[in-house]
Amino acid sequence: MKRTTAHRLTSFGVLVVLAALWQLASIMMPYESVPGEPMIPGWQILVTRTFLSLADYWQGGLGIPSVAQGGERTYAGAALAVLSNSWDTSLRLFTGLTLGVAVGLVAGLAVSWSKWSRRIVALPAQIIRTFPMLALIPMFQLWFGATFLGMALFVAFAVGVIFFTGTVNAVGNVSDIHVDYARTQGASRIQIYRSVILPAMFPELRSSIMLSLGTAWTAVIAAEFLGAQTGLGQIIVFAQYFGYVGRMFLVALFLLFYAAITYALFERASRRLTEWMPRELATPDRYGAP
Amino acid sequence: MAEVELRNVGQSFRRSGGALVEAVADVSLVIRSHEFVCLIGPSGCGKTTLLQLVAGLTRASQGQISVDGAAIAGPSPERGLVFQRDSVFPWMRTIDNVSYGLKCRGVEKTKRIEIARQYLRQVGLGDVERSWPRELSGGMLKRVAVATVFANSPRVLLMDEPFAALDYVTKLQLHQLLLTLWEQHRPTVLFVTHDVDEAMLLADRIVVMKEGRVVDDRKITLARRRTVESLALPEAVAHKEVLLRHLGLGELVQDRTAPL
Repeated sequence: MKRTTAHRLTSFGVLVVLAALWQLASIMMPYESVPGEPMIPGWQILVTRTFLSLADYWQGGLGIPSVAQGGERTYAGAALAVLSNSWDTSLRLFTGLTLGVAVGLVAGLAVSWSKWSRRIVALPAQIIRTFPMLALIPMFQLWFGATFLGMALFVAFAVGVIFFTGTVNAVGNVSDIHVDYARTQGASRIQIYRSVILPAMFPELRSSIMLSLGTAWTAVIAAEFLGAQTGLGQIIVFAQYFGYVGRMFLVALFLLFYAAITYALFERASRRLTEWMPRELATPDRYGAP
Repeated sequence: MAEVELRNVGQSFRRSGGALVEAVADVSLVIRSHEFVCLIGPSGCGKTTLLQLVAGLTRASQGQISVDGAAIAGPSPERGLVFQRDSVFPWMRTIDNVSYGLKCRGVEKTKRIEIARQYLRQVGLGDVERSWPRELSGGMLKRVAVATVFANSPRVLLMDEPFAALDYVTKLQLHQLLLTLWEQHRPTVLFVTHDVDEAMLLADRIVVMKEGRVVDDRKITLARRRTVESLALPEAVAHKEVLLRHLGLGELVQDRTAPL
């Protein structure tokens, strides 16, 4: 059996075991958060009643009326609710992620241009990196309101900080010998950045990208907790108000699924950029490090 | 080709403890056009620092270095450098590595690929032009570095113990390859080594450094290409004995009274 197949089978086995443990817990602890809402809902409840209840978040359209307008809870309505709220969350996430990556990368490269600028920003960058991001959400809300822009900018800020420090560190770790080799061949500073610094730093930057993806999902959900009218984070907050553990768990599963897809897509996209690396270094370990 | 002149060149730096170290002190040297000069000396004697100064990677604290009378102001493809460590870009395929310098100088793609292919063939790597460096052996990587530097047509070729980490056979093969390319293109060469046999095989002149200063400068007039036999001639042996003494290996040399 190929190593990757064995690896996938093992991962799948772990998931099955976790699902079974959840089911076991639901049987052994039949408590309720509110009457009729189990604290640990079993899979038979999650995929039927709980999923159907997500139709409450469908705002109507495509021939399926919203529950608020007197429509029935249907599976189609639930699916559309999941899709439309996932779309809203994803749009905020990817706008913020793109902005954060672009600004963090460009700022990191600009700072790395000289030894002095690297020294000047080293301390402020470390301070900002250790600042608890979630504490800044209320400030972003006051500045921008519970708007698309505010939420996207919050994600951009969270990602940008990681990317900026990651870029500065990665540039600092590029081997001098490759830079000198390029210089002796007549490369200009711009050419060195494009053909030496960027490809050489990519393996190290990859862990920053992985970290950014995780942070971006956390940041967008956190931003949606406060005042958003749509999005998966908003569903979780409403579910929490009413003690709907099942809905919270189901949305968390969707988030887990989306995050896994983004990691997998990034892995696939980055494979070409790390084709040159020895195989054992090109495959990230389980912690996302190259 | 190019004449390299070093006039009263010095380079000092401070250690982390604050002590001032003179890595190179008052070195004056003229390397004539087409000459193959080996710079030899014990570890830490300033050979590599001197080479980096000529490459323009470091600025001299004192003195002046010029090529054909023009003071050097930084690195240039006219002064190609082959490093001791692997410097080949691992993220570029072999052919892209060899054509990199040409690309930097704006040579049109078809032309630069043609030149790179020609040099890859010359160093015996014509069949691995699309390979990644990770797929090549240490000796092959050195061949790539040599092909790369020659593809840039340098007037001065600087080599910093380029073959030090290679096995004996690969090293000897690369010596022959280097001599073939040097005979064809005749750049002025400054070759740093700590290997007396390597210097005797390659050099027109051997300059010995100790504690940052030039302590000996000797012409090697043995006919080229040198062979095991020619390197066993009394003249060669005499040079070798003196060089070994300079390196602190006098115990390997028979005691002679007649100075050279």
